[in-house]
Amino acid sequence: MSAVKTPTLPTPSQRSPRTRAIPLRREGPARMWWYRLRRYRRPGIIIPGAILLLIVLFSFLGPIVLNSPKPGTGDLSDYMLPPGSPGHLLGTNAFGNDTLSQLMYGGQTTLIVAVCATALGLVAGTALGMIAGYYQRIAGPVIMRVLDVIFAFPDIILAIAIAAYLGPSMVNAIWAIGFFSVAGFGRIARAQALRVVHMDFVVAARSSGSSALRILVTHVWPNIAGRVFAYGLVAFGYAMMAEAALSYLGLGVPLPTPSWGNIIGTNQAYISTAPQLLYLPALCMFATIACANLFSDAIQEKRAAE
Amino acid sequence: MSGTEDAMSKPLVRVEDLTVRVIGRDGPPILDRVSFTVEQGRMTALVGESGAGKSMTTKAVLGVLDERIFTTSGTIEVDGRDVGSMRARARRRFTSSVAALVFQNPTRALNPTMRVGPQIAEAMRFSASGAHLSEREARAKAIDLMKQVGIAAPEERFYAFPHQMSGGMKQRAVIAIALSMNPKVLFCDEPTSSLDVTTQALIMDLLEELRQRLGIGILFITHDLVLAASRADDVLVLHSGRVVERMPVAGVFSEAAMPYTRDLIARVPGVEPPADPNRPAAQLPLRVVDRAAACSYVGDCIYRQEICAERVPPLAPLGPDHAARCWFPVGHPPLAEPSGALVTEGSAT
Repeated sequence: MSAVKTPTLPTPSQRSPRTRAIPLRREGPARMWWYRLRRYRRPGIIIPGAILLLIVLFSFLGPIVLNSPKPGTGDLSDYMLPPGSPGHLLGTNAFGNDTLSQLMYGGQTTLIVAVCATALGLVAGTALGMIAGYYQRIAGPVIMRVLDVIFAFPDIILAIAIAAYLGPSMVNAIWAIGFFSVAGFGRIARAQALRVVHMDFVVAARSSGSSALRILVTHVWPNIAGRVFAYGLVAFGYAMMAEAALSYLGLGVPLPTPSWGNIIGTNQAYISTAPQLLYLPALCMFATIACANLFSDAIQEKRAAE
Repeated sequence: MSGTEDAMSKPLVRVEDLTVRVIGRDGPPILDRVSFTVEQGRMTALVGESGAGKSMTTKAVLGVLDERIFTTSGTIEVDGRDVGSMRARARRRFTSSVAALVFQNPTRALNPTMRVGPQIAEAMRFSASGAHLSEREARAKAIDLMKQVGIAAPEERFYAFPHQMSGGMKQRAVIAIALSMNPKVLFCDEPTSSLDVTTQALIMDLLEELRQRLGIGILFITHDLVLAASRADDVLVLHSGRVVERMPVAGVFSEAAMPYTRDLIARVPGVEPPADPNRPAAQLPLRVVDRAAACSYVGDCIYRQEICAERVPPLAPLGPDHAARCWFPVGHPPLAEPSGALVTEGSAT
């Protein structure tokens, strides 16, 4: 073979526009979120997530869609109707209040209290935990010993004491439950912060004189957020149980505002005659807490697998 | 590049008798009277095996050692100022405006949850000693730095996450961060040891170019004597926290006098240190009573004598810019009789 034309590489100026590097386009935020969420398409995550979503929709949109009567507006002449009665699908209680409506409005109360209390604990606990992990000399041990004291009390007894002191109301229940959940978040956040603060990029930011607040917010928090939120779902379950316990004892949300806890509490006398009055709110709570825990576990597992 | 010129220009970093101990632990210190200088526009290589104290030296100079665990003594001057006597906060502020550190592992040195560009811009915007630039200025400067360190398509890479970059590119980003504060001296802590050889050569070329173009001094830490010999100006060999040999790079392979350095050279495939006619036939049995008072290399040294296990040799000058810490430097007259009587009046400093 002779006179084979040797191919020459084109110089940069000769290259056609088609061979230029494909720009790394910055995706829009909506698309980025879709990419991120798409990784979590697996039954262990979708099923509990969907049930949780259903419970939330049931509680917040159910009353609007079904045009349910407001809680506490029952007709006393309709008392103790069995499930399946016309107009009252799940029957009524001793005051003639519609059980389905009570369940839906009770769900609102319980979910709001649990979410707010968890959020309170998350914000306060994570902030304290990160500070404890960052300032390891004085502030760290002091904060952690204080949290240990809170941790040493049985959660529910502490909440009962606070709620009894503040008096029964929805806001007070949030404070009481939020207070004891601070300790758990504090521990998780500190443990995770300790892992991060010795990484090179934190040491570098520290040695170049970045402020502590800036380091905690931009470098530490994004690297511990996943674990904190995973614990948050578990803490949410605990908060729901605590809310139910407080309401059952009459220290939580006062009547006539229903919550799953106080529905159980007020109807306990009817456990043999109308068990659905107790078992239905209990079932709702069980489903919510179980799904929150399963959801958290499945996400943790997926993240660990990556 | 001659010795007299170097003596006249003021060194950017001057470390004298730097000693670091662990609080509450006896025995030899982690760093034992380490002295060296980093000159403007020169690359000083710190060579040693794992645990020799290379990273400790940089951390001590930059003042990021945990004071609850370590005590430091000795003189540390950065850009003519004694930083050892400064308060921690002022010291960090001053040091970070003059010196910057390039980390060993670029994956650990970058925040995985933050885009690369903002990380480069961060110090310029927010750090105490930074310029406090606006977001727009810092972004422009960061993109310029990314261009300087050879990151292709910096405008787009600005928004990349670290996991979207290769190891070499991440190391370039780390160097860009180090350069963002306009340092006069760069501490490179094994910047290439987690990279493959091709990338290593590119990164070394980049450091070389930055040194020439910006005139910065570089303290280059490595366990790779060949790499040090091919790129640096001066070589400092560290063993068990002591400087055991200091010499200009040109003589490393031919004139190394400390047996440890010679052994390092002998381990390099294809390189043979010059034969030594006076090499003893056999090793003496080893009996070290006090490790702090013995030569650190006495355990593996084929030249060892009784005195090596009993007294630390001084870092004795053997020529211009050449010094070795050995009682029996190869190719030079011994400093002591094997039994222990000192030949010269070298006080064991």
